[in-house]
Amino acid sequence: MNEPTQNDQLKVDQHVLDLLNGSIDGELSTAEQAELDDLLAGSARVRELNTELRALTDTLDGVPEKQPPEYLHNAIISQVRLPVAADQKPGLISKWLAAPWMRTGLALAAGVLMTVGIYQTGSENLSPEDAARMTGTVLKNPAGVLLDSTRFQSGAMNGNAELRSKGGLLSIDIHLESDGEALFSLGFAGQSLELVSVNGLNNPEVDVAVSDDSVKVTGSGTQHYELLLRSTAESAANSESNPPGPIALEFFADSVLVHEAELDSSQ
Amino acid sequence: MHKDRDADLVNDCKRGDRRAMAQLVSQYERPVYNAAYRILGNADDAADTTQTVFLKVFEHIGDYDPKFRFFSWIYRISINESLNQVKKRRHQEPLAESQASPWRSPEEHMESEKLSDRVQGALMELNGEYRTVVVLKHMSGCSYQQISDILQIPEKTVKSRLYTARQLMKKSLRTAEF
Repeated sequence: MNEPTQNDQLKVDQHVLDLLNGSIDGELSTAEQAELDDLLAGSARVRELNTELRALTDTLDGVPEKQPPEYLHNAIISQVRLPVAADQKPGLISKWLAAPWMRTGLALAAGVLMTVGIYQTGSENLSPEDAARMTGTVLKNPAGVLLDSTRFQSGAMNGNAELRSKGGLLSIDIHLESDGEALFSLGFAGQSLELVSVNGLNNPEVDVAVSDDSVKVTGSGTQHYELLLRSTAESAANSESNPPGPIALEFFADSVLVHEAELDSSQ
Repeated sequence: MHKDRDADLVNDCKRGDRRAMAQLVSQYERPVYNAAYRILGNADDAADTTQTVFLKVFEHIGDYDPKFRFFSWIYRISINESLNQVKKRRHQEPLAESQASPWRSPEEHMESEKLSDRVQGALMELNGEYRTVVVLKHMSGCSYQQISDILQIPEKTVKSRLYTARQLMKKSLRTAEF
């Protein structure tokens, strides 16, 4: 019988490594596992290799998951364009309105109307505060300044809420996706706040219930709307020295509380 | 991972159902982001790549063949997109030290973060083929068969790449006082 060469030894080592790796991954046949068990019982070197490899794979398996950034989900959702279902394809008028020349014409017409609107508004006797508020709301920073946000995913409902300071008002932007009935409740008891408006509700089946210290919005499916709140403090100075405290949000899917959060408006 | 549920959601997306689209994004956002992060080693690049992956997925949702698992399809797009980014980055200006060597973390990092950074460092020393199989096996929890489906290579090649990658990582981590 020939003496084993160095090459044979390398092949044996590679075979042992294959068995060790396969065993760790649970991919060995019964016969292969039995072969490895014999090798482990008979060789300190194989046992050492096994210990090292298990330590490595335990380390790799134990690497914590990274949390995607908060904005990512909505950034994706807002950019995705899906094919239009056959029963939702635009009719002739919609196609005509969507034509580039028509869009240009409509944009010009909107510009003219806006100019007329501003001229007419400007001809009224506005107080300096009103004018400042209009500038802040319409021109200065239409998106507002993000103060706080919350996001959740449950089996029945996913969503997020963003609290912004917007032209002297507080804006709460709500995105919800639900299979069944979704109830969003906003509580601001004792916070010197009142509801100004709920914007973006284009679904007629959505129900809004308002009281002095809370707003409840009930709907289903995909929902996106904005609640605007304003301070009822007697003066701006008072409002600044006593900023509103946390605003309580609750989200119910089919009457079951799936998420609650407090958004901090004091930043 | 949930073949029938994914297939239903994909069919709903093909009909323009945005709620189904949002559910698929919720389900796969984290795994896609994590795979991209581990291959690219950078949070900003991983977020950009994740967005690109989902835009491509839904742009081509009509081409998706339901014979295959949606899971394998989206992972394949994620891996290819991440590796493309790695290639592009090679041709661009060198990264800042903090990006090129994210594993050289400050001492005040939490223990898990240190581990994560050290492993990330060893991963970044591997070439794309080896890095991909380690990520799919250990960070994404895929079986040999799933990795084979995603990368469209034989299982034998998966094993061979994985075993070699582990040996290389062992050496690298040992050098870094693992």
